[in-house]
Amino acid sequence: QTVVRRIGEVLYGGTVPEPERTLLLNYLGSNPSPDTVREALGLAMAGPTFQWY
Amino acid sequence: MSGPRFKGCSEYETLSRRGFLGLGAKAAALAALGPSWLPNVKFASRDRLDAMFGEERDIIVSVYLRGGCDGLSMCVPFGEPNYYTARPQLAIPRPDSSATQKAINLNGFFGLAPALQPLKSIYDAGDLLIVHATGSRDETKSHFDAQHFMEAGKPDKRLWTGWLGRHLSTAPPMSPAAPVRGVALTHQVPLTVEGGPKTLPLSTLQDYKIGGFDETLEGRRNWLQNAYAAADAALANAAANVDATLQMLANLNFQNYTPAGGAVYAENEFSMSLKAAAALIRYEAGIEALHIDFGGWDTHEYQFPLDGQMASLMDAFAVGLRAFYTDLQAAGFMNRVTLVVVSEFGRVLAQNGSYGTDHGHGNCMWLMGGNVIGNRVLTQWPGLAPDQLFEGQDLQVTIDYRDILAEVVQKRLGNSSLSTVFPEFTPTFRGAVEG
Repeated sequence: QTVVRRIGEVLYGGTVPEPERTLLLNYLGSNPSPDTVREALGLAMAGPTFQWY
Repeated sequence: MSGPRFKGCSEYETLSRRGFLGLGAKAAALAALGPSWLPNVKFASRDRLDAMFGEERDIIVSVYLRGGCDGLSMCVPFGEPNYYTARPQLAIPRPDSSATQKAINLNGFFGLAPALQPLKSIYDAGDLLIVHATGSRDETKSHFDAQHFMEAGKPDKRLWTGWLGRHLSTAPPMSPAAPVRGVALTHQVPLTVEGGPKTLPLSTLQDYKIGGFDETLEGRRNWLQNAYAAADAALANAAANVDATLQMLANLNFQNYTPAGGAVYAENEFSMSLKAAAALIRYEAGIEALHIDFGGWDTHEYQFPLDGQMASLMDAFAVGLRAFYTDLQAAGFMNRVTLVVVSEFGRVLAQNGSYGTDHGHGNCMWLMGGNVIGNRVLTQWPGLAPDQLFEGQDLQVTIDYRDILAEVVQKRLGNSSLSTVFPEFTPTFRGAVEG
């Protein structure tokens, strides 16, 4: 939750839409490793909403 | 040993930087938006397209020699005394000369540069055509403008789609399920293929993949598939095509590609691009158009076509084309491929004070393929006497390059929408290809 919130704040200005937020939460799981967090950051930047943002 | 270092003209270097930035931005837009952004292109109705296009069309490979190659060094008019007068240090000796390095006689008037020897047997087999005194009739000597005009297919700086892109946009796909129809083996989408639906830049086939750890690749791929499945249609379709292209390239396994017929590709960028093109063609994934750039032809200094910079360029050109031809011929594909080679302009007849040649006008084009009417130099030769030169210094253009390309588009690619592919131009077919 914290990671996704920070990604949303930094990359999306707090406007991560629900579908991508859920997908990111699912990808990170309950106890993400630093590598997984890095990958989630990359996926967020590669996501469709970020292309328009 | 350090030899003379060639420096391209400053305008060309500026073009390269500007081109990188501009094309990079446009490539990103293209990847994201698909063909709907394309301005000023009419799409034909499906019924009309079905009636117009047969199932069998050639795959086109477009090669651009950037910098303005010196056609007078590649296809040498050794029957012209003025050629030798104008180039005392740069002319290639006549075939009947006692020199060790000399032109390879083609028809008693024109000859190939010795570095192009690998192409002679293709020429003799009738699969290589040289068109001479051709090019764009526009008078510009700016690389930036001339490349734009030639790639756009019209001398118009406002036109930001290319002739090959417009061909793709006015032709139904050869294979409707193909994830990609046009491939530029370049870092950015060049103007030639701009506007083409399902067109991607793939600078290297083996590096076009989702980066990161192998262990998590499938999870990240699934994430992207799910995220884009819910996106707007334009993005979703583009993403699906990219994903399918990634899968296609994984299946193709280019790193283990084996050329047919014992073809040997050199370890340079041009040959590697041709090797990638051959692999994609042989894979039969429905790709219809491929584009390759080959830069470095802006030979203002130390051109030396026998043993210098120009010789090296021509050697790479010939060795690459020879390998491509051998590969596809042995694999049985050459009758379905037409390769065309253009450059923005030729070079001044007379050599300059730096043993080079400056930006000129008329040039030669090259066509290779099983349906090319080759074994000849197609030309309306204007002559090289002072009063026969364009602006008193350049080879004239007597055949518009679009005459040749339009003939290929109609006869080999089955597309009669020439007024869209080459706007405001009425081509005269010159008998370059079968059909």
